[in-house]
Amino acid sequence: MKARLILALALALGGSGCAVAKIGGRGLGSFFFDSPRPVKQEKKPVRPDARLAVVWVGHATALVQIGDKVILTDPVFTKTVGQVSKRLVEPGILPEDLPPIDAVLVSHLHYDHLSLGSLSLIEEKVRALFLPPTGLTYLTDFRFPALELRPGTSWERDGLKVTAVPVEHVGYRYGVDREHMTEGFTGYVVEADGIKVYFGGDTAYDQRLFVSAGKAFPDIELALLPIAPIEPRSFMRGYHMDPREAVQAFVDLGARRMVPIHYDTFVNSADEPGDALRALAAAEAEVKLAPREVVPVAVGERRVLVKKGEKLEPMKFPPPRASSASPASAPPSSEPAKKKPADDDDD
Amino acid sequence: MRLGSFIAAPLVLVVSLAAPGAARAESPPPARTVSAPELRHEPTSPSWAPGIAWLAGELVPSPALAFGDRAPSFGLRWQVTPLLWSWGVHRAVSPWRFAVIDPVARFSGSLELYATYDWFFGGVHDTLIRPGVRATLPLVHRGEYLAASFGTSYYEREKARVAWDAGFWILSGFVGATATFAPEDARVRTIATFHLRVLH
Repeated sequence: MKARLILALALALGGSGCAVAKIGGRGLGSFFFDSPRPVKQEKKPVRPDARLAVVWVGHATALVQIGDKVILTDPVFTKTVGQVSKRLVEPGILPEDLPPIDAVLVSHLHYDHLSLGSLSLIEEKVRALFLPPTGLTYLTDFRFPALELRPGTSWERDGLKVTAVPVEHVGYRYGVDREHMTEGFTGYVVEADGIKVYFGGDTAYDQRLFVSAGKAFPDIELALLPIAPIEPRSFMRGYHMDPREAVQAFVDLGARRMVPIHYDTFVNSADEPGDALRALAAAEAEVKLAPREVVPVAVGERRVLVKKGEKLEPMKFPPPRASSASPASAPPSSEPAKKKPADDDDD
Repeated sequence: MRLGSFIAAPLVLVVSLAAPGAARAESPPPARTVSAPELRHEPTSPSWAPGIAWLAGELVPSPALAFGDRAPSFGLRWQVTPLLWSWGVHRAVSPWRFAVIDPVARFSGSLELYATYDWFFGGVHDTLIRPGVRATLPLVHRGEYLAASFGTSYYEREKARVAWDAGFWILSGFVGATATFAPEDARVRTIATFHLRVLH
């Protein structure tokens, strides 16, 4: 009887026209009735023969290997975020299977990016953690060293360089603290072994920021860019890129590859699973990306993007066409961009 | 020659100071990389000045039920926390909070001085002003998913009395329930309170 009441409430909320009620209804429904979709989890995330590889753990969590350096972005391994939004898909790597992490990057302080429970699970493996300004306020005291990086500042050690770069988001965690926490968001560029990786965290589209980041860090090999939540767009636009905007940001950055993140992992929008990837494919088809490539990675899937010993070809991309009217309006192509098969390895 | 150098040196210095652009042009550009020691990365502390959210949190009362030798009575409770010391916040962050209490500082492990105002109507029909001290202990996810609290308070009605309280907190400490027990107070022996706590 209790379950029926909850189901009725979830259906009523989810079926109503109100976007907030819809998101809340779907969240409530998933919380009580859904189990995370199982995935093939990566047991050996680091490859000795990889110069650049990525494993998507889910949402904004990605394990990036650059040479012998391992970077983990916005680590979330818990079953829920904020205790109410349940995981729709299992994490692609279990915390116990993680190698030592040279740098953990936290883009901002929302529950789905700064997860205290998740950090507790990996505390022994973290060598350094980076947060945006004011981030330490909400971190609590862990054993690993943690540093706030203001956009424009860098940290470097043993051949690994982390630079915070500006993005457009919000700095609060709870909402009620928005008067106090105004600076807590950033993106990052990681440099090691001659390779640059951009991590956008969670950001709205601001062409100036992406173009300037691309100029400051030419030849970005990989851009991890959020492509959701999409709807309700009138609300999300100020905080989140949709797939079209993400593709435009990818072009603005002048990066070679883009791995989409921040979709289909938790209920945090009115989007249905699959919406973001469909919209991404549509946006990709509208612009001429080649020789750039968008590389969607499944949860738990590892992609070796550059093999050890492989030299990087100089990037000669057509200059991005500035667009003030709408993003993702780079030169249209008569043919959909062909994707190059990425180097897969399942072992 | 030596006299010329003697005059020229201060001139160069003055010109350099007067034309910083020229001086900068000769010096190497400032390094973009901040290398070790890590201490050069100073943490940024937000200003916890009272704002609208804090004021709203202070004004909205928590519903309470009082039990004793009379009929159970409904009541309302307001609370202010003048001082909190947190042992759970990051070591680079100040452990002290005054009036405006961010959730992390409390649920990560803290000791606070507080004062409550309880207003009961119905069978009890009384008011209680109780200063007290309370400890909050993190249990799950550093206290963000579950924290427990234990405290004691002092109040006067006819004579000085002591009350004890215990509670649990979920959802980053925004939602909680406490039970306050005053063994020597027959009229208000137990108070059950449901809390919605916002920065206070």
